[in-house]
Amino acid sequence: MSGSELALARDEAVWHPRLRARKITGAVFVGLCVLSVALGVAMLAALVIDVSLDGAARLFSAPEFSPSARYSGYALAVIAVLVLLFRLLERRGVRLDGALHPAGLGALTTVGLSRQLPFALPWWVATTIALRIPRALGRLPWIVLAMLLLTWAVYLFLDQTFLTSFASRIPDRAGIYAPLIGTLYMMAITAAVAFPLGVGAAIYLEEYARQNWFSKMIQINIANLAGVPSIVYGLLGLQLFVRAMELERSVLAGALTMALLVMPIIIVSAQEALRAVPPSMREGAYALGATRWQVVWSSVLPFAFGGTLTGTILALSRAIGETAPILVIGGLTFIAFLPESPTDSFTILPIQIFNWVSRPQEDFQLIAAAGIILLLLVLLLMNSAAIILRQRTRVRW
Amino acid sequence: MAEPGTSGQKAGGVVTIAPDERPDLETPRDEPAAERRGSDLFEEIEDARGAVRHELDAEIALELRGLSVFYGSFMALDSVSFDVPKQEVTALIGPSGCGKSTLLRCFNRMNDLIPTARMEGSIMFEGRNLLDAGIDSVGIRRRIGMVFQKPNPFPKSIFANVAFGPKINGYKGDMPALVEESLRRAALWDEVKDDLDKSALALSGGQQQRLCIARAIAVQPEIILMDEPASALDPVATLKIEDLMRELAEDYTIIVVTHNMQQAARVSSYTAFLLAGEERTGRLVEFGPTQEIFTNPTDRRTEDYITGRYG
Amino acid sequence: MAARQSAPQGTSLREICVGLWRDRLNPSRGGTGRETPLGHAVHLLLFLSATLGALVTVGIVFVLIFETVEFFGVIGLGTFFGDTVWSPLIAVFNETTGELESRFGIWALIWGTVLVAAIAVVVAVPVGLLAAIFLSEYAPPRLHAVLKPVLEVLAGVPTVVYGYFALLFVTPIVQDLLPATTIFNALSAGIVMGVMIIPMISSLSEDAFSAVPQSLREGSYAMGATRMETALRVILPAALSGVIASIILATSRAIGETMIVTVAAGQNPNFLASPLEAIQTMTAFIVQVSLGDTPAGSIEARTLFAVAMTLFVMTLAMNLIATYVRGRFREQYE
Repeated sequence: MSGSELALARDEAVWHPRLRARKITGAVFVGLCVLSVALGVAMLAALVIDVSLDGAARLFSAPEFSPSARYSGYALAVIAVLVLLFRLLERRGVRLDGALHPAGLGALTTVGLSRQLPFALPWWVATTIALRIPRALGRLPWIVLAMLLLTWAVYLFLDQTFLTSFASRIPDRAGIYAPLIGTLYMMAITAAVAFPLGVGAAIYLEEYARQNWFSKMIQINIANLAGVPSIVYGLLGLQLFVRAMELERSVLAGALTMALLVMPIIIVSAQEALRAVPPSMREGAYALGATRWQVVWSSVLPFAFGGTLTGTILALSRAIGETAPILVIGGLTFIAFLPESPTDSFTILPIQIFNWVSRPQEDFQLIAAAGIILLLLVLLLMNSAAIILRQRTRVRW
Repeated sequence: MAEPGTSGQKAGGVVTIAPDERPDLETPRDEPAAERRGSDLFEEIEDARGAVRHELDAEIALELRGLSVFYGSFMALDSVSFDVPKQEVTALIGPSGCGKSTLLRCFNRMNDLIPTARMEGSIMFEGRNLLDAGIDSVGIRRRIGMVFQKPNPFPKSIFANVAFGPKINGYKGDMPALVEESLRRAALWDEVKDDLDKSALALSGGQQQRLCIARAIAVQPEIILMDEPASALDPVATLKIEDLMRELAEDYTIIVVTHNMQQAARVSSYTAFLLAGEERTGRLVEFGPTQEIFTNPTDRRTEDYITGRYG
Repeated sequence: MAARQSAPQGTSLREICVGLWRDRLNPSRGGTGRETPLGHAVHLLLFLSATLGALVTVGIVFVLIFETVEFFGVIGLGTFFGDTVWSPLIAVFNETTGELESRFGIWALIWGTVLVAAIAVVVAVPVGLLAAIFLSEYAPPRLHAVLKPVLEVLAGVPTVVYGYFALLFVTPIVQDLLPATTIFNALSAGIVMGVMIIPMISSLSEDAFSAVPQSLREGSYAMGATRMETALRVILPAALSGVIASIILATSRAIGETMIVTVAAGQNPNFLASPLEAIQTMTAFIVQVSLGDTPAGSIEARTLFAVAMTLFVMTLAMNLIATYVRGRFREQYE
């Protein structure tokens, strides 16, 4: 019936596949895609580099280093790199030991170069012992050890007055002691409040709740809470904790506000962790006659704990960087004392940074960069902890 | 029966490659063995092909010579050689995991999408080797269409589904006419002519599969590959697809993978039987006219499979 | 059982509570009927934790509505939505009345908010979408495993850090390119905010792309489509609702973002200001009032809540739309 029509359609005159042009367009498109990803990565790099360059001025501006501190710093850095190198070699099957130990050699060389020979032997002993530790502990801690050594090395070069000084109107004397302690204090209370409540809510929703309108409503609520702007939580905290409960502008008020902010995130991640526990774990325990709580406590929670903790750490790391809610409830920006009880006023890192950024003097903006470096380091630490935790507690079914 | 020394040839035109007659193939990494594979065996099959061609008096659409497929270090297919006749239905049968689909996916280079896949040997199509690096897989796929196991219409309108291929391939003719013609050829026009703008996902499974066939023929390919096209459908829809296949064979070369032997018997003119050994590497056991394969198979394993002893 | 599943109708609050407490004793998931006293206590505690999650929303809505109603008792909706000059803290000269008075035209703040969010979206949508396409359609698994977390770090950087970056890194560059730019401007704040929401768009869109069945990709390739044609003409339309949801969520995040705009976009509520000028967003206004010493209960302090209510309604609406759109997408493939 249609042989002739088909013959027409097969006629190459009506087909213009333009293979070459399509190939080129495709290549250009891939280029654009790669460019987009590269742009994102480049922005991150620009941010980190910009902040580091600006912040280094205040962080490392100490005029006088003791030589021993400086050489110790170099040596630690070298050892940290060698620890990594050593493990890498070991992974590839190269075994180096004893006096030929690369770290021992490296330490000797470094310290020898620094003309601090009396230090050489203790360094060598310390390194050799240090390198035994990760092997004894298992797979992962070696990278932690290297990071700790590096941190220690950097610390030795730091102008430590930045970490130990209170706020000041003179840029060179301004430090970050009060906000640093304030952040730690507030986050400790936040974690203590939000973790049990969040995990509890998740357990209720996953293990207890019926599929009725109430649990559905809570679920929708929690999903939407995650999208509420953080500054709105600040207003809630202001009315509820600062005014109604008369906690004033205290650590406790800030911590409770933060707890409300991170709770939805903790609930969602804990729910995911609970859902990942296969039903067979529960059924096995029920089959033995366990009650619901016994099942949850003995058979579900142990398997979901790692995931839950990871989610909590990530949620808290978001809270550490949050500025707006605490600004609204009134975290002070200039305090020259440490909060001693939960009802004292306080300030936190991001607010101190905001305060410094908003000042017109360039010196203060550089200090802000130093504060940012500190904040990013804390975040890096928390996120690495979360990643390591996730890897260590991951169970494959 | 095959005489010793002239293995793989049979008077009836059925090519048989029994494993005991080609022990050299068991050691593919061995240099001399590989060489033998490239020379001795090739000639045997050349001879065999001559016989097939003469006997069948059919034009040849695709010539497979020593086609092997690897996924990483795993050999999925071991030097398959046979000819696919033009404008006929050729069925690939065999138990699960024997490499039928892998073989089918070589013809339009779909295996390229798997990063670890590698193909050796040759598939000659219009005088060119499809496996050559210089051959553009995108260009091939317009000439060699494909229909999949599960109907996979795009979540677009029926019209847009059929027009997708012609559009990207730069069809300059009358698009509505081409869409209508393709849908007619796929025996779907009468059912959908009034709702061409409706989503293709609203169609039934059988209709979706016929839409996929219409979509495949809209770009006017020479060859249509079908990967168990009816396995996800009910018996009525299956019969429709089978009728369609026989009809389409007047204009197109059709290669169909099926695990349903009745289907192979009903629709195909030629059948290739593949089988995987212990190491899961697929090999061609027998190729010939369907009638002979089913009524008078040369190889005992073919007989076993057809009579249901393989499961 | 079926009757229990449906919401109680026409009941008092007390009956609802009683019903919920009874439901507690009828667990939906398998288990033994008996429960120890400890088990009951734990159940109650867990139930209360979950209820607290719901109460937060109630608390937010209550706090906002209470103060907002007080505010509109004094100012009036007509003034709030009928004026384009925002100056609640300082009296300004009103040309129509010829007097010095406070002005409460929210449109000036909405303009600033929407302007910055729009710039952010213009930056983030192409970059985020192309990155998502690259990650889901092109990147080999190993590269994917490296790139995805790196991009997601962008979402984890504290916003005050972005504020610093916008003010001290991006603004000087923008000023070099467009000399008319003021120090505080919507453009650089918007660009940096765009960078911040890139991972939201790329991650969520990539999830949507990955949810498109592999068979559609194969179908497209088998028609002779190139990778780009498959990505743009098959995968993108198929995942469109997921992509749109991701864009709406990202926009909502941009609207509610505070610190970038507070640090880098200025404090000048200015209706129809250009991107090169300073503006003020709703969030930045809330910070401005919070930093000052406005006595609680004054009309100035209450503007805070009226503005926050506007912000809350806008973001909530967007989040609900996104949830709805994404739900429809799930319907299609799951």
